[in-house]
Amino acid sequence: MSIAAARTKTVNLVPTILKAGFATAVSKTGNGVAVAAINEQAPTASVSLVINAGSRFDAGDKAGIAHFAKNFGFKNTGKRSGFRIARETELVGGVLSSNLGRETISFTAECLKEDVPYFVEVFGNIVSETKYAEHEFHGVATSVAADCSAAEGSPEVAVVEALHTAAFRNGLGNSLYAAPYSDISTEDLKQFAADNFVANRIALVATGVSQEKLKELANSSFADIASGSAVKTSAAKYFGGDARLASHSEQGHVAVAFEGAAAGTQEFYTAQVLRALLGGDHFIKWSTSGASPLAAVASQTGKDVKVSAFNFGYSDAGLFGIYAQAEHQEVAQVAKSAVDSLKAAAKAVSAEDFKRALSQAKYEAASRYEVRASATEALVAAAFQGKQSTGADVFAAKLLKSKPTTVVLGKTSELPYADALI
Amino acid sequence: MSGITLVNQVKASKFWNGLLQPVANAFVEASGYRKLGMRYDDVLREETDIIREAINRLPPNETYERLYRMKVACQYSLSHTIATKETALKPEDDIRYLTPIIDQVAIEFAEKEDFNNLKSFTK
Repeated sequence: MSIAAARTKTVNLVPTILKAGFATAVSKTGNGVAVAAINEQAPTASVSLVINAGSRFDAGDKAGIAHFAKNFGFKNTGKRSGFRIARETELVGGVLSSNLGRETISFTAECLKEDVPYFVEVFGNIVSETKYAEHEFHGVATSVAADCSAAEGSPEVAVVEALHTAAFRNGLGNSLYAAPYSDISTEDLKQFAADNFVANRIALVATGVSQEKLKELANSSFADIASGSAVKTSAAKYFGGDARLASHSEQGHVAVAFEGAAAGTQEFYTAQVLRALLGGDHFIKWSTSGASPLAAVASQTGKDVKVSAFNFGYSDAGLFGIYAQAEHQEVAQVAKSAVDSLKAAAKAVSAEDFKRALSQAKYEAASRYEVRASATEALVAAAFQGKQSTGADVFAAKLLKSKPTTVVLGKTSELPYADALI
Repeated sequence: MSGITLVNQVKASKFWNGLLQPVANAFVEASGYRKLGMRYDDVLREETDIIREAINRLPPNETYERLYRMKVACQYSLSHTIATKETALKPEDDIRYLTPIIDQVAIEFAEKEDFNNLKSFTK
C-alpha cells in the first residue's frame, strides 16, 4: 500500500468538501443540522451523515470510543433493525459505508437518486434511535478488533498513526483505532451518542440532489434531534518528536514531518503545491524515473524504493513531510536525500518546476472530486489562483524551522535517528 | 407468543379477571415450579432457536441467577424434597426476566422470515 492509500484510510475527505466551500451553499435546518448538496448530472446520488466527533475528541479515559461508535453505525435502531437496514439497502441497490476520521465520523450511502429520501430517513434513525444493545456489542467489538489487527498489519498506517501521536500527542494525536486497553461499554456509547449526535455537530452532505430538497428531507427526518452545542475544540498544539517502532518489516520506513498548515487555508494550498513540487508519485505505471526531486532520489537508489511527500490538513493544524520506504541499509540515505531536496526547495524554486507542481496540485485537487462533483473543478482551480513561485520556497523554509517529527519503522537497530537526517 | 389468546380482554374486564385470576393462581401453585425455587421463565422449553437466542442475550448476572435456581431445583429433586413455605419462590418474585427478550427475538425472527420470503417490496 502506498502512502496515498494509507492516507485515504486515515483521512476522511467528505468534510473537506464543506470546509473548502466547494458545496454550493451550506444551510441549516431548524434545529441546526448543516446541509450541503451538489446537484450534479449523474444517475446516482450519495448522502453522507458527518458527525463532528472523530478520534480527536476522544476523552482520555474513553480512548477509541469514536471507533466503536463508527462500527455501531447501521445497527438496530428504534424504528428499523440493523437487519432491515441491510436488507432494504440491498433491495434498493445502495451501498453503505462508515468512516472514521480524526475530526469526524461519517456514514455514507450511495444510491439511485430516487432513494435519497429513504437513506436520509435511515440516517435520522441512526442519530436519534440507535439502541446500542448489549448483544450487538460483541459483534461490534469483534469488528473493532479486526480493524485494529488489519491496521497493525500495515506499516504505512502504523507510521501515519505514530506521526500524529508524536506530533500532536493528544487531540489530533489520538489514534483512529481503539487501543488494546480501550474500556468501552454500551452505557458509554449511549452517553457518547447523547452528547455528540446532536444537531449542531451534524452535517448532511449529498451529491445528486438539490439543496432545497435535501434540506426539506433533513427537516423531516432530523426534526426530533436535540440542538445541543457545537463541539469545543481545544486548539491543536504541535510538539514534534521521535518514535521508533520495532517491527518485523521487510523494508525500513522513515517519515519526517514538520508543522504544516490547516486545511482550506491559503498556506495549505501552498503546501499542496510544494508537495507536488517534491513529487515522488508515479504518473506512469512501473516507471522508475520522473521529473521531480523525490522521483530522482528513488531512481538513483534502486528497486523497490518509495519516497514521496505528504500533506495532511485538519481544521486547525497540519502535517507536512516526506515518507521513505526502502531496504534497511538504503533507507537512511534515501530519507536524507529527500530531506535535502526539501531544503533545496526552501532556498529556491525554479519557475519551470513551479509550473509543473502547480499543474499537478490543481489536477490532484480537481480529480479528488471528479467522481462526485466534476463541476467543482473550476472552484478548485480558483483556490490555486494568485500563487506566486515565491510562495512554495517561503513555506518550505518556514516548515524547516518547526521541530521535526520523525518516525522509523522496521529493524530499528539499523535505522537512522532524526539528527542524522536533518 | 403464539396461538389465539384472550388474555388482554380478560384482564380488561373486571368480572372475568375477578373470576379467573384465583383459578390462574391456583393453577400456577399446583404446577409446582415455585416449590423448587424456580421462576416461570426458567421452565420455558429451551430447545427452540428463539429461546436459545434470548438466553444468549441475558446479562451475565441474570444468567448466573438462572443457573443457580436450576442447580437448587436439581438438588431438591435429587434429595426428593421441596421447598418449605418460607423458602419457596414467592409470587411477587416470579419475575418474567426472559419474556421481554423472547418477544423481541420473536419479532426479529419474524422480520427475517418475512424478508426471506419477500414477494414484492415497497419502502
